Amino acid sequence: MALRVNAEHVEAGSATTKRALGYLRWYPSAWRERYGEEFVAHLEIELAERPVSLARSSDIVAHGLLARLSFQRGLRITLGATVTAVIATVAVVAALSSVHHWAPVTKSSGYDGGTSGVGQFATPSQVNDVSFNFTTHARVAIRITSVKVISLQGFLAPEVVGVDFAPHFSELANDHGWPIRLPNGTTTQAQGRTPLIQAIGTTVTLARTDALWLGLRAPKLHHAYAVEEVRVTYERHGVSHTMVIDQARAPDVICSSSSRKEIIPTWCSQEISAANAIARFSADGHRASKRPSDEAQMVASFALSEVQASGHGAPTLIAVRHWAARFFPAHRAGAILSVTGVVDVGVPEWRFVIRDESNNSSVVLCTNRGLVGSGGGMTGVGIESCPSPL
Amino acid sequence: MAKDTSESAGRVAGVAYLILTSLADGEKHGYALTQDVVAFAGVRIAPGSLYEALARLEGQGLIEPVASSDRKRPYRLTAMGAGVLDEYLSAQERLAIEGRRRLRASWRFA
Repeated sequence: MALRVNAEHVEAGSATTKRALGYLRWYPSAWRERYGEEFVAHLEIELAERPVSLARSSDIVAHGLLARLSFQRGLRITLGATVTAVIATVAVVAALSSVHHWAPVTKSSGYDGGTSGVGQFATPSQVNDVSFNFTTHARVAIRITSVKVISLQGFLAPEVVGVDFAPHFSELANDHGWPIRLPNGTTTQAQGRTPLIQAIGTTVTLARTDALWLGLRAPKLHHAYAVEEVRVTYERHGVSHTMVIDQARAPDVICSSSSRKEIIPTWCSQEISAANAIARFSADGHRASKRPSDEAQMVASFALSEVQASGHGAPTLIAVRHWAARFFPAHRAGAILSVTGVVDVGVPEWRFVIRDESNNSSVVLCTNRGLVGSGGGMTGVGIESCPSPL
Repeated sequence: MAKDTSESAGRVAGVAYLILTSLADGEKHGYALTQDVVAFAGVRIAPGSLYEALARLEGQGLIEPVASSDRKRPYRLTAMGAGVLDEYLSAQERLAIEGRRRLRASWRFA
């Protein structure tokens, strides 16, 4: 049975269901059609039992991307004279909440309708396309005036290089269409099949299955780009509105790589895992059970996963400071104000000074000696009160 | 963060045979299957690994889905799957017997 991710489903569903649907979007549409329902049912139970598991997240992301690779290897476009581009597609479902207003409710899984995609990484010369698929109850005439992409904390924001309106999105997708209008001289497999309308400044009438496509570029090599929010400003009946498409729980990530091979680089996998972790952390930021140690635990975990990926050793103080400054800078809530080393030999320990938002004070916490593997490297770390000075 | 060794082990220790073994005594849906594998093998199969293996086994004709009105679709072993599992287990038994024999002879294990 096909899984349809619609507004009613998501509105009626629990937070666990929403998270499960977020994970599902890593898989291609054909896979979702076949396994989506049972996969979500399975994840709902797992997420209820163990809300947080980096290993589980990494496993799902890795297999989702691999599934995309196995489903689609053929489509190439030429962008400019020399670049063979590979397109990744992520779809976001929006819904009309009333006749007079429309707003997105949630994202659907990416890779809709069999369009191309190899996962979220690209060379700086490639353009990734992201679609916002409007599910409307009535035809709505709007004029889009601007589209702004907001980055996730610690990541760069991709450049918006094109905004197009695509009538009859589903037909376009089934034709393996490339919806972003390309510069003169470029070619696509589906060129000319579906007329596209330049969206910015043009009045368009949205109907069911129509879509807005963004062409996104990640120009800085070996950097990760992650989208937390897309703000679409539009006019309707002469009044300006802003539609905020919240991607906080499952951000779109693009890694800019020099490799054109269909392999996700290790650093990119780490960035994807980090983006998902930090997005979930941010989304849960106001929960009552949140403690300052959560920030320290997350930073220690990121630093640890970095050395685990290389197979040995323990994180350096510089690495821990890097992750702390990247995700919990001083100007943000829950800032990590400083990190210092506690022990110079053996398994390192770190002392975190964290701003506690609940009572506007600072909290000092230390890592414990963690778990040490047979090879001598750290395999885990915990957060506790700092030892008393001798 | 502590590394979940059971999930890592599941990826490298022959997830397919763990699934076939679990289904050998009757049909199960994905979550029941993972719980069963934890119980008899001490390995937790992560969801991505599980469904990748289920898809592969189904494609090979070794397991098949069972019609269900529930979202949690059960799977069962096919005759071919039972044969493949039996052959694998026989080979493992022969390996175990030979390994035991050599350990007893050279290392004085009982």
